[in-house]
Amino acid sequence: MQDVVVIDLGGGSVKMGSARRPDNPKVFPNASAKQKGERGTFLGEAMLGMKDVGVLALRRPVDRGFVVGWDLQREILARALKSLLGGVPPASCGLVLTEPYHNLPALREAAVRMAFAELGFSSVYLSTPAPLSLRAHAARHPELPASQAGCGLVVDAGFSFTHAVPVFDWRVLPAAVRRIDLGGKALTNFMKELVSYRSINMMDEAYLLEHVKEQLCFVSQDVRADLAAARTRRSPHRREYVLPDGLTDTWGHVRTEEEAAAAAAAAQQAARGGGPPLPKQPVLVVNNERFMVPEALFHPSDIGMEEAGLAEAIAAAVQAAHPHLHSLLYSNVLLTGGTARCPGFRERLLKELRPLVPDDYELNIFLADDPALCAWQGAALLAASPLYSQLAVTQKEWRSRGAAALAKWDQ
Amino acid sequence: MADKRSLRSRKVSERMAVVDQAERKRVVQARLAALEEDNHREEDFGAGGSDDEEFEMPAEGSDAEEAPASKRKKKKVKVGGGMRKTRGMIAEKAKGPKTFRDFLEEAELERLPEGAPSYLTAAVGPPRTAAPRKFCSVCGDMSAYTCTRCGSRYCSRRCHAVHTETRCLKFMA
Repeated sequence: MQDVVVIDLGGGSVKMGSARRPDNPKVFPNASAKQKGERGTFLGEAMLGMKDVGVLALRRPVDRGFVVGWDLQREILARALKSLLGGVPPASCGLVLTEPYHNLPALREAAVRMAFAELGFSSVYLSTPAPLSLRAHAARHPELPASQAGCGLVVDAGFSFTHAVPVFDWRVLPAAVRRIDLGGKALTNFMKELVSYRSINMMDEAYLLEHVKEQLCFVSQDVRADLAAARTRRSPHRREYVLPDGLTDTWGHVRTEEEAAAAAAAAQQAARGGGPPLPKQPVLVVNNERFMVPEALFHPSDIGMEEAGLAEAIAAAVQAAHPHLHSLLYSNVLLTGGTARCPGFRERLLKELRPLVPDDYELNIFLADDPALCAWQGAALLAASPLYSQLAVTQKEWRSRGAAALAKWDQ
Repeated sequence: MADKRSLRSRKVSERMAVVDQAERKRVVQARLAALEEDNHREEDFGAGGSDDEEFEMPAEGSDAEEAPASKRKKKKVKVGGGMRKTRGMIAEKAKGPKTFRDFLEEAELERLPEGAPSYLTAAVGPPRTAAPRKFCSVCGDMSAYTCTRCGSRYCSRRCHAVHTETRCLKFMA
């Protein structure tokens, strides 16, 4: 059987690997970065090797969740494919590629064109991430009745936006999909804005802040209580993040208690002994930002966005599906996407969603084992199964029938 | 009617004037738009919207990398004296690469039959179960007060002082 390359093309990162090796996909930023004052550009995978992540000019092929910069996208993928495949020509491989929900026809054709004409694959299957995630989930929980029906509500909390996607019989119910225009990128930028105003100016450090966000943010279970706690002098939420020094510490790190104590002691010593003042380590102080940032996803109206929160979006999505499916959908809510990794996400969602669900329905919320990779894993399962050859469109079909050949994906 | 006040008092009163609803809304929108940017741009929300004379920076997509190349090209054109650029071409270039909004417009989703699912129908819409909560724009805590000039929230006198010194004056009435 031919090898199939699986690419989950996210706005924030690309997940790429071969269906034959489902355990270790590559994950790298879907962007190119240029350091200030330097000539070289780091492209996609190369960004992982950067020694200095400060003040980067980023270029992303994805705008609001849709790939629009196809030249850049092709280069990023081609570069990574070369190292993935070694000497194997892409013409001997198939491709599974993800596309956004409600993709525009022009952009879908551009994706297929890239896969065939520029990357040179022999066949391609485009799918939205939700059904793929559900496949990975069903493989892990085959005992669920919803798994057997290929049914579930997938929450895809990605980099560009967040979707609540009802799926039945492994197919997205397009009329019932609901979207919140808030994703990991907006949250990072929101955090950037907050800390720049309150602590240190980080407006040019989006890439670094993304890392800080992933390490420090959590979803509050009780916002009022946490805010009250953060207000106190010894706030349990206060953390200090030591910024990268440009030498040994590429990403910086959260300051541990020992480090803080040592620094305080040294400062005291210096003050008492009258010695030379110690060079101050630049630290970013974060306190209530840690939970107020993810909070925006649950209540976008907090930041002035006139959109419903996540729990309400899920309820609206289920409501838009056929009434017979409601109980099945609520019994199998799956959280995927990088933003779902935020600690406390599932518990908080359960707390907010339960009051919106009729009380005779069972409500189960599952957090995928690796939310960011879930769709990729499901795609790898599909690529390795005989289903792939049924769903894929071959280069020959594309050449003879053009866009009409893609119509089978919509049925 | 000619305003008889001095230039300075006119300027000052302009700055102190209450920011109207439309402007407040515009500022919120600009802030939300900034959340989708990849790189920080130096224009800050609140700077007067309709200033014609203001110099417009080239659009976001044209990054630093491209700049020297385009300069070189321009020079060549001048030396050769050939190719004229039409206004359309210049406008196209200033716009930068196509954004998702451009593609969305081109797709003409409004012309789909009534009820057909599309990007537009998937938007979740305004919240129905909860009113917006109010947080201090300075420290992030629960806030009880609204700035009378610009409508931002604050929670204490201390935060109000910080607010008036930093953000409030950035709003132009």
